[in-house]
Amino acid sequence: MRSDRFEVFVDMRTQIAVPPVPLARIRTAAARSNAGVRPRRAGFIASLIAGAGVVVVTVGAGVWSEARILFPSSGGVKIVSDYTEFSMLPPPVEKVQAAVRAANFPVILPSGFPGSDRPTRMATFGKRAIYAIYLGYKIRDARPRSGIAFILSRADAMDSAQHPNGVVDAPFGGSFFTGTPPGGHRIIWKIGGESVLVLRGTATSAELSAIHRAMLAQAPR
Amino acid sequence: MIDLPVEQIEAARAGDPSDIDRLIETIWPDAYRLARAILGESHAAEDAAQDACVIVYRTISSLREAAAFRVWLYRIVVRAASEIKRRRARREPEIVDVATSSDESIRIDVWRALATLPPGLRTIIVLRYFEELSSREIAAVLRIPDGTVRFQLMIGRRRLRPLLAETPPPSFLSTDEVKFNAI
Repeated sequence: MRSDRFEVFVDMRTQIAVPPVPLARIRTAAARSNAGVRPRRAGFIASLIAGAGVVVVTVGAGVWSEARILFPSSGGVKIVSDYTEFSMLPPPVEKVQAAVRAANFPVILPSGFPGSDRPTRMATFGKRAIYAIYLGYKIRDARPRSGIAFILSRADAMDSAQHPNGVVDAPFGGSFFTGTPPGGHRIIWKIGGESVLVLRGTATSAELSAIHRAMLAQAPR
Repeated sequence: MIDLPVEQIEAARAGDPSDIDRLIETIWPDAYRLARAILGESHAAEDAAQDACVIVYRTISSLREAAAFRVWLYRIVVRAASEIKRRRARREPEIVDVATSSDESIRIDVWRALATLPPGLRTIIVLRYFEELSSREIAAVLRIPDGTVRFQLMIGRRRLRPLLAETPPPSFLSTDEVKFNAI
């Protein structure tokens, strides 16, 4: 129930002079954030994924039109792409499916986990199409930064001979990080037309074998 | 108080830019006023309202149901205002615009009194008394328990009461009506 005092506040609210809506600026800002990349977050994304031993470098459009996966001599893994999307939250099933549909390679999603097959993290790389997908999963009750992660890509995306190993133009402030996957192991599987880089983490050999078998048994989506 | 027809929200959710434009034009005054009440300063409020509208523009199509729009929008504006406040606090002292009305000192005193509250408490007071949200709605907007909201409201009223006790009544209110604990 409203009191008279309450009316004073409401009255004050209506007395606030409102400037005109800057619709053009709002539209432009919205379009810019949709089209690009979220420059302010580039370093943040890189640091998050770096925790799993992966480096994301977002480079300017026109420098690279797709994603490349590099193995720098300093260690870790580096993904070079013109566009990166990363979510800290477990991605909804629809988002994973959308990424699979937008991928330019026949995607076979990791499966055969001892627990849930739902990823807890996802990043996609590539602007016009998705050239690589990073997926993180929990193994049992793994703590953050453990579990297992996969980088799915077209088989030729991991051909490190074709891309630069030094200076990469990073106009949006993408940072370089180095690291080693938790557990210190990485494995590459070829499954159909897909390359699967496995950042083993806390998965046991038996669990890895089960995942590999389950993926081989799948048809591409 | 933000209250829009469901049809307008549904139309914007469908993604047509002209419908989203109309929605932004409709929500702008509410978003600005809420930000202004939280921040106490017009330039910062304009920045916060604009940031909030950009988020609405970009993500309205992902809103699951039109019924959730109100709480969703409040949450976006509150967060945008908090972010602006956090950014500005690093580099400049708080500015409080008090000259919102030419003739009523009570309004000036209420603005000043609000400015003395810590940001979280001020947000709760603003949502309750400016926006007329129930404690349950505030809890949904801020994602905190209802009991916490009620407790904070009690604290806020207690802190504001002495500051407003000497406030002269505006011409349209009696002295009794100005007592803050009548809320």
